[in-house]
Parts: sequence; structure tokens; C-alpha cells
Amino acid sequence: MAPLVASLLAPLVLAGCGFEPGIDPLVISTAPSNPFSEFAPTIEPVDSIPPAYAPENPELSPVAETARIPEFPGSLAWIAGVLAVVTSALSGLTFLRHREADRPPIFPLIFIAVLITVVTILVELLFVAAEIIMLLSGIGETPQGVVLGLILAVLGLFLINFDLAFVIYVYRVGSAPAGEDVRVNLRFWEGWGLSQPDEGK
Amino acid sequence: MTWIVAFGLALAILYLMPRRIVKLYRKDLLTARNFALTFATGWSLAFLVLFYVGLAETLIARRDPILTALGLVVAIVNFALSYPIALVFHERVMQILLKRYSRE
Repeated sequence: MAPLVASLLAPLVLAGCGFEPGIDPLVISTAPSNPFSEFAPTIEPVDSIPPAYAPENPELSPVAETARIPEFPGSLAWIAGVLAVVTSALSGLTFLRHREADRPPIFPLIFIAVLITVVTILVELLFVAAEIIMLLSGIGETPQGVVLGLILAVLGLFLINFDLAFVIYVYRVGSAPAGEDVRVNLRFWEGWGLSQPDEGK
Repeated sequence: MTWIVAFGLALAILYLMPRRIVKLYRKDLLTARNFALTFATGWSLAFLVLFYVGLAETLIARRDPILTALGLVVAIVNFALSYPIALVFHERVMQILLKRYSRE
């Protein structure tokens, strides 16, 4: 009885499910085999870049370029600073006087004058380097660059003025009559003190 | 009045000195010796001009041989000091700067 019922119901159940056992199963297609595969380059993992393909230096801003100069000598600025401190300390010592008319000794003054000259030369060299940088970078050819160059030249003139004022002060200390108060005079229009012999009396 | 002339001439010397150095560099003639010579000559010449032109009236009025010789002595001392300093400066600073700008 049971086999009879099963044989009657089976077609109905299978028709309800839509099952069709005669359809071929789904096959996912693959790429056809490459006939030139033996000529193709082998792809291997890369763990380093060959030197021929190394990237070039990236273009940096002027500020970053400047920061990439580790060998720029800061020692020059240090030497100029130390010389300036020593010079000012020595020149301060020479002005320790008991009376107003006392004069500092001439040989320390000459030594200080030489030190001042060395310091002014070092500073002037920095001005010259700055102007050379401006000219090489093209800024020096523009109107603003010309004005900046003139400002640097005026600063150089100030250095010469200071140096000459001290040299002439040394001359005045050595040549002025006894009792005359001699002081450093930075006013170039007065000949650094030479045009006014009565000054300080 | 002589001060205006003296400062004008000295200003022109100090302004033209770096331009002369750059001109030598662009002609590929800038050696350490040329740099030092140009700098020392310009610097000493500016001293000489400022001293003798600026103090012309005072020098004529005083007629002091020591004062007259002082300008020359100062210029010689400046040249003698600035030449070796400029040589060292060229070796330690200028070469690095010029290399950098020749690369760009």
C-alpha cells in the first residue's frame, strides 16, 4: 500500500518543487590558457627598488632647500661674536680712569683697534655674501634688490665709520696735549673729533 | 661738502664690489685669490677714500705728517688683515654657497 501511495505522490511533489534533475550543473568559465606564457616575464614580489628606477629628489621650497645645508659653517658667526665681546670688554677696561683727563694706555688701544678691524671685516664679508646670494638668485637685479644692496653698502659704510672713528681716537689719544679730555667721536662731519680741537675741554 | 663726495664714492665702491665678484664668478674666473684680492682692495679703497677725501680740509689745515700717513697705514693694515680672512671665508663659506647656486 505504501509503495503505491509513494509512486502516486512523488510526481506531484517533484512537479511542485520545480526540480529538474536533467539540467547540467553550473560551470564557471576560466580564462583560456595563454599560448605565449613561456615568453611572458615572470612576476615576482619586489622588496627593493633597483638604482636605475630610484626616484629623483623631490622639489623642495627655498626654505627646505636652505635647511638641507648641514655643512654651512656657523663657526664664523661664533668667532665674530666672541671677538666682538672681547673687543667691547677690553675697550670698557681702558676707560677705567681716576680723573676725567686721564687717558687709556696707547698700546692696548692699538690692539683693540686691530680687533675692531677684524670684527668689521668679518661682518662686512657676511654682507658681501648676502649680496652675492641676492645677485646669483636674481633678486639683486630687481629694483627691490638694488635697494637692498644699497642698504647693505650703507651698513658697510657704518662699519668703516666706526673703525675710522676708533683709529682717529687712538691718534688723538697719542697726540692731544696733556690735560685735554679725549673721547671717541663717531660724528664724521666733525672729522671724528679732528675738526674740533677744543672739544671736551 | 667733501663728506658727501667721500661717502658717495665709498658707497659706490662697497656696492660694486660684490657685483664685481659675481661677474668674475659668471666668467668662471673666481678663484679664492681673486675673491680675496677683490674684497681686500675694495674694502681698503673705501677706507682710503673716506679718510683722504672726507678729511681733505682737515689734512690741509693741520699739515700733520703723522695724520697724513695714518690713512695709508690704516688702509694697508685693513688690506693685510682682510686678504687672509677673505681667503678663509672663500674656502669655508663662499665655495659652499657657490656650489649650491651652480646646482640650481
